Amino acid sequence: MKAARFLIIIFSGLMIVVSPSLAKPGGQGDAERAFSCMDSCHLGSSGKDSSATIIIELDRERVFTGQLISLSIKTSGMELSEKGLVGVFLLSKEGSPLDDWKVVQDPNGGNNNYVEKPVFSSTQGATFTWILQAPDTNGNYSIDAAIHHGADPNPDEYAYLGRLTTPLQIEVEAMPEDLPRFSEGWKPISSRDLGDETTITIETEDTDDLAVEWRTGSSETILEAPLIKQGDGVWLFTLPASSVESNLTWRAKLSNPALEEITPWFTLSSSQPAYDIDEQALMIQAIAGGILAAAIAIAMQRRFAYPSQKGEGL
Amino acid sequence: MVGAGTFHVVATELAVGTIALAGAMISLRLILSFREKYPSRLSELCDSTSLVCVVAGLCALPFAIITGVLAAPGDGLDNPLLFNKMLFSWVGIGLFSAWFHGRFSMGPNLWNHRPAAIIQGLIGMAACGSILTVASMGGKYSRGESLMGPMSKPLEYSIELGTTSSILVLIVSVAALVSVLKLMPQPYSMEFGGSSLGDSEGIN
Repeated sequence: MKAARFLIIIFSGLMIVVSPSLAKPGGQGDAERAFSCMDSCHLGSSGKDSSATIIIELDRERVFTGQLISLSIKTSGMELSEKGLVGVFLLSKEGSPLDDWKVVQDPNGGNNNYVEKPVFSSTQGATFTWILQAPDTNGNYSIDAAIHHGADPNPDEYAYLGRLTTPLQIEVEAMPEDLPRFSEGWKPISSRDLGDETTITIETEDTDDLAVEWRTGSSETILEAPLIKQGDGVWLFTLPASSVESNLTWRAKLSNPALEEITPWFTLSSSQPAYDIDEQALMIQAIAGGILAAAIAIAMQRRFAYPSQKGEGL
Repeated sequence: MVGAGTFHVVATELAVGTIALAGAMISLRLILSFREKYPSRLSELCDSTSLVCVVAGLCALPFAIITGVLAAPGDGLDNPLLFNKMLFSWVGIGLFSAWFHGRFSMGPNLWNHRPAAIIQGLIGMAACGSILTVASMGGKYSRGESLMGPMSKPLEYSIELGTTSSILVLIVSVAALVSVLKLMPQPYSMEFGGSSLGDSEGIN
């Protein structure tokens, strides 16, 4: 009885002593998110202010309606958790996800306004680059950015929050009628398996000539990809395979006699083939494992637990 | 419209909560069986609580598995952790079913007979352990950390048998279960000390 009471006291003590944790050191995952923190601001609006410096940069001076642009958030000087995970939001002025701007490619190859990446050095920081399609209507727009992360140590489990002091103001002008551009609805490929060459088809409008440049990572060496013209305004090019997990970036230079347009750098990441399994086979394997476990357990019960015949002592 | 993820949270909390309690009660009942000559009220409470919790857990587990599969992001089970979660869930169901079978067929007095109590306790704790491992893997998958720490590393790899081999293993498993149930001595309800099972002192 003493042991049982001791065990009860230990269990009760543990339940009282261990404080519940709401921290998410593994992050929340990339998603379309408003800056309401969802369930990540562990202490509601009383999260701590981040020490991060946030700089927002646009890759061009003039922006036209429907044009593809590159927007970079450079952040450094932030506190870092043990895992160094930093989440960055790209937001409208009101703190909601961008409604008018379409995310063509986020820093992790998705289409989200919120992404997370590990940052290895607070001093060096990190750059998060989005490729956006400008709104269809001309006018003045503002784009805001926010950051959240943890700290190490962080005993009170604060969410560290930082926001741009002044949102970026962008004047979107009406697109010139003959601006060379990609066709409406074109989407970049963001990832591929290791060892696979990638053939990309580009459909364009108002484009007489096209050149495609590519580079590995952010290397200074820029190479030109050979193009095959498939039809009116349709080109095809192949990017070489990669044998290691890495990023390759490419951009297109579209031109006609009047205008030239250079797209942002699109990222194509190479990674190990995704884990894939036949769910039906898994279910059968799992049920078989369960039945086998039951069979072994019942066999042990009957072999070791039961007396050989009723009436015999243990 | 409530998503599968929300139902999964409810089903998981129900399953893990009841099973964790069952594990604690089974452990306590096993310890008490070594300490007591005659079952105390606490022992009876542990036994009945564990039985109710195991039944509740067994009812909730299939819902947790189904909603978990439906709530998995992307194209189905695209992560070895999810694969192992499914595998351990069914192993847990199998072990708890065996535990329930033993408890139901031998009655509450099984705890007063040392070999039966030890086997029953070990099966219950193994079942509880496998379900808590599943819960821990859920944390590893969604939050990137688990209570198991570095011990969760092997669970990031999986052994897939494929459809044909899985069917073969299923047939062998069913055959093994049928053989055990039909060929091994049938269980009967155990009686308390001073009865035909002898050892009037109980377990000491």
